[in-house]
Amino acid sequence: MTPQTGRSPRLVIALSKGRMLKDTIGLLKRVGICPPGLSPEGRRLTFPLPNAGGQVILVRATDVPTYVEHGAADIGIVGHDLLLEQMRDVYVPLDLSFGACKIVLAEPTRKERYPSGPLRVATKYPNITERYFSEKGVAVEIIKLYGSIELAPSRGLADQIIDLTETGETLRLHRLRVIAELVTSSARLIVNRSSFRLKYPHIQQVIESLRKAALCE
Amino acid sequence: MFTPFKTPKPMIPKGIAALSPEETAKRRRLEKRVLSVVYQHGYQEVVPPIFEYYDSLSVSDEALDRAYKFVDRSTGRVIVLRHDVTPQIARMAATSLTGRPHPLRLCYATHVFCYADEHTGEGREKFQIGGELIGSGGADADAEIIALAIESIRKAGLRSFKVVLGQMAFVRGILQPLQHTPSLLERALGLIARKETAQLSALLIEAQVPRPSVETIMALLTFVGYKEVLKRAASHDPMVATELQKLDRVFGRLTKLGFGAHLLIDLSEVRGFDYYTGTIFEVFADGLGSALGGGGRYDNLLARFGKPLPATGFALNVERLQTAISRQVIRR
Repeated sequence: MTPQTGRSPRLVIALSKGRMLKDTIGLLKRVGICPPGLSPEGRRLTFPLPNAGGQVILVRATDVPTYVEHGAADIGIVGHDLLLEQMRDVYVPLDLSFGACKIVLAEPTRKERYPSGPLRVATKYPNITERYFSEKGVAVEIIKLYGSIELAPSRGLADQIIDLTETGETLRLHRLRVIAELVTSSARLIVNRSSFRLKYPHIQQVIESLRKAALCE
Repeated sequence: MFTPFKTPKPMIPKGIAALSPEETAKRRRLEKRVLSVVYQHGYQEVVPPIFEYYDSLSVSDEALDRAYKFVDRSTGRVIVLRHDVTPQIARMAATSLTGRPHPLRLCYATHVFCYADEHTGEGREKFQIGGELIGSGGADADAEIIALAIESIRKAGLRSFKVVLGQMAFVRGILQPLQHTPSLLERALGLIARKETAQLSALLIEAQVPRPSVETIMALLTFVGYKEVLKRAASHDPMVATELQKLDRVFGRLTKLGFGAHLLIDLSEVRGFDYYTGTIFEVFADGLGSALGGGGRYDNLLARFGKPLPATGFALNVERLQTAISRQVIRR
């Protein structure tokens, strides 16, 4: 009935170091909620927001959805790939368009020998891989890796890989060719379900200003 | 000493808790407070069984997927550990409790069990207190249940919380153009639940949904706010205005009871689409990332047990309520 008046509530924004931080900083600057000193370098993990209150925290990209789902952060910016992999119960109101890349299935350009037994696929996205192959009705053995996925086929660890690629350069370098494009990924804004309600309408205004800023880009 | 390479056999399964005497005393005090409010409003407590046959409790496949199941020794049928009390109460109301004057007011205070993935911080055993109002279909019954939930939470000692109201019949009306393509409806519901605006419009346009319907469905995502939302939504589609009038009555009633400051409307809430049939609500509190309780109208459930009757109810997660209260104290 009575909209809350007075000071706007503090917002905690979870971002990750890594490939999307530069674009994210640019976006936050355009809407005027970028804390001073926020940069990809350095060891600081928390950055207070000057006027609006609240803070920006830097966590691992894979952990951004966890922070937001639990309400440890109100909003976050994270790749669509990680959201598909983790399937967290969060709102995803904005596609911020930057950080575009693709999740692809790739295999060696020259197959040394034909695999025996089930297809082995190395990936850091076991859930996406599982869903992709079960939709196709193909039995696979998934090998979960945390990085340098491109190396797995050449070392005989896997027959194919499912990985993220921006330009395809790294794949070519490791003599891999794309055999299927699963999904296009880009940066998404995520919002905690509880925060959206408890910090309404402030959080809605932040989403709208980010929407406008992302469109202008 | 910590021996990192040895995997110990855990003493208790993951996701359950054993409470110390002090914690137990605290919990029981909280339960008593909540139950006192529920009793005061004429709700009679019942004790439903802790496990049941899988096929007789089938309400939502999704919830049943996450339930604990095992095989009955004597019959070989699959047994499910209770994951939701409402269907049990519905069955009792439709079978063993027929012949009593309506509306029937029943309540419970008991455990439910639901599988949760590891390392997510989710418990697998939850203690719920809830009430069901059976045999009454009007807005007054909806308001009674929501008021009861609010009063219980207040009595428990929580001050700052929001009750978010929705209307599933309204949502169903808006999504009518998608009803004949179940796969499209399912994908649209997923996107609406996550408020994925851009993806939703892309999906609808790609599926060649007529433009006016696309606009109405997209507008659904903007129906969030205070009471003015109801006017905005009604002007959009007069076909579903009756459902909004009901919600308007609920809102008015709760405001008159002095609960206006707790209320927020989000008509785009679609969780429980297959289950709920009218006014729905969820309760959110500072310091909790997810809802601590909720409920709504489920007019189709009792028919499954042979007695079509309108019904509405609420359930509170007592552990979450306690967490919210303790965090509120710390913050002050």
